[in-house]
Amino acid sequence: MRWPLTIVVMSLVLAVSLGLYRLESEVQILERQLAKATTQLEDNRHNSSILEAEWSFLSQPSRIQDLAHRHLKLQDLTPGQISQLATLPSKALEEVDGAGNTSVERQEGQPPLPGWKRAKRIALAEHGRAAR
Amino acid sequence: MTSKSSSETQTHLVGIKAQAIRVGHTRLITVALIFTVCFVVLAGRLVELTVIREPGPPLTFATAALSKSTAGRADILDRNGTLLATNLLTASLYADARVVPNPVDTARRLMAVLPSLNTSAVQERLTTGRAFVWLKRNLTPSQQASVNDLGIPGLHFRNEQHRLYPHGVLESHVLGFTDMDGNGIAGIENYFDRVLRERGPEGQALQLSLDARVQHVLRDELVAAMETFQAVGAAGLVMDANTGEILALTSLPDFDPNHPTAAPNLSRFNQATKGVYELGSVFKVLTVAMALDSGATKIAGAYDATKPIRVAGFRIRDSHAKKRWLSVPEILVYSSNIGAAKMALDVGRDVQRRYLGRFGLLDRPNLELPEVGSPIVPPNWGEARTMTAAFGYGLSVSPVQFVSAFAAMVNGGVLMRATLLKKIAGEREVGVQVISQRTSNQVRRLLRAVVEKGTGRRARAPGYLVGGKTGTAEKASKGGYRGRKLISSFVAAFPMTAPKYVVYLFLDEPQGNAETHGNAGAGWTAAPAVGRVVSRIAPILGVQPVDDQAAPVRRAMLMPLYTRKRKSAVN
Repeated sequence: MRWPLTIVVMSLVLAVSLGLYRLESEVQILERQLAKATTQLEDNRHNSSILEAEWSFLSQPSRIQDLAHRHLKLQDLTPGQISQLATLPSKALEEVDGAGNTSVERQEGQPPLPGWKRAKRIALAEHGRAAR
Repeated sequence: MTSKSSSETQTHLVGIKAQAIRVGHTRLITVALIFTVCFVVLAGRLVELTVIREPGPPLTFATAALSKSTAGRADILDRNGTLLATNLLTASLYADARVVPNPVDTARRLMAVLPSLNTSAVQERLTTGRAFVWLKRNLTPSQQASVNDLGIPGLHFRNEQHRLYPHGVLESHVLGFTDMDGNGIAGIENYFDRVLRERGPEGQALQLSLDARVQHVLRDELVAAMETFQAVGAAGLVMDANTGEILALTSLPDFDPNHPTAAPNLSRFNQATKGVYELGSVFKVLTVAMALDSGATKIAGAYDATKPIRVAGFRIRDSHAKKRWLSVPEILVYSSNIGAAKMALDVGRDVQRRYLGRFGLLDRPNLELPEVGSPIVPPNWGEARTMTAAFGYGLSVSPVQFVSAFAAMVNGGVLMRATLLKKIAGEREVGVQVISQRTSNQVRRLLRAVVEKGTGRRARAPGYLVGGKTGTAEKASKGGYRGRKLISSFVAAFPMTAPKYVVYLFLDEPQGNAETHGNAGAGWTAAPAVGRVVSRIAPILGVQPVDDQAAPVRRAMLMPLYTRKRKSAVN
């Protein structure tokens, strides 16, 4: 009768159901992956919270103090052992300058920088080099 | 006839045919409609599935298990982000006693991996034949694994939220604890119960002002001092002098919040915030500050401390008696009760009360803990009360309240509300100016003099310019004060040139020993502990040490004692 229409409709039905079927199975696969990922995420979160608690437990100050007393020969910090870059003696700086192995340049005709400024620049330069 | 009949038949046939065609049409349209509807629905669903629908949260086993278990609570952190309290999903072991094969053998094998179990109790539970019996709550992951490895049928796990305090006893009195169902019972857990619940275990953590390292140092030194002097209790505080943030708060004896019921009730009493005490001579700091601030006396003034005062049945005398006139700095440096009492009389009862009220010592303080004590204010505040309050008797306040007031004395005169929550840098709460900047500056120098020359010498911490005041109070009991039951305390701030931190601690009923020549007073017991706390926490807190003897420091801390050997000037 009207074959062309029937064929068009039939092929449409076929195409759509095939498409739908593939889509559904794809969605199922994705959903399974998502569920797996979520479970894994939950697991990891759980594990990391356990690890965080364990870290806090292991790093509690009393334990660190006990370990330090037992295994290290460290003593309490005295005020004399604490200093600032600003109070570094300038003698050492001259030597560093002389060796020429720092990136601190002293330009001709310019007055030398105050001690603390030079110390800061040297420290910055050395730190930069060590980082690289 | 024939033609007629044939034509009739024809018309009849035509009628039948037409009707059949009509029926066919109708059916076709109906079927087409049905198909159209089906296809439209399919197409619509297709569009909905692929284009419109947002991917919702997929329900997995883990989330299903989580939502069923007891509600979780948010983490609690210290000011540096160290974990102080957290929720863990722990496995709890239960058994289906109908399935478990051999109760005796099962109990024996369980004992091998969970030694804390009680064999007979487990056997008894396994023989009940019930479908659900608890065997052990909150197993560690390794315990769970080893139970699994036994491969005994009928043993199952259920996930439960379990509150864990990794530092154990360290922050017990601040954090408080929760019950089995995760309700906050005490401390921060109770005060912020709703907040912690609402945020949930994955929510934003609650950050406290505590510093776990400072907290440890304070507790460590308090434990040591308590042991050395065989005190029955001790408490201490470290506060940021400018913001009111509490960096450390300890009350001994304390408890393990992981097993709160294991400790006696007494251990759960927070002496630093809930307990109120007659703090003794540390109050003289406030008396001197209000006397200077109100203009009742001048720094160069002096009082006659030759003889004890008799008032309303009390006898006010000095324990470090000099038996002469004392200048205002000397009254503080030698901790003269007589001098302080006379100074308070000059200030006057009403002005004294007004100042004490402004210092926040007459009302219950605001603090983020349920355990906060109200001060005990004497009902009839007469002359005798004015005099005794000057050196810390008659008025009972909590240590946290006193420390806030003391911080205001040294930080430039601004009273900040004590808090256990970390303040965001830059966002500064405005405090109340309770004494003038100038008075505060004088108080700093006076307190430094106490440590340099007076009763607080043993609180020295080289390099950190400690200034402070001793307080040795006799404990009140029925029918008066018992001489040898003391509360020895010391309050200090450092560095005195621009105080950053306040340290306070007290020892309850310390006993003197050979090293202190039997002396249990604050200068011998509490002061050295404060000195050690300062020496240990200052580098942690990044306080730059200075040379105590350097000229600019000495100039900044200059406080002549104006010693008067003979009777001379009157205030």
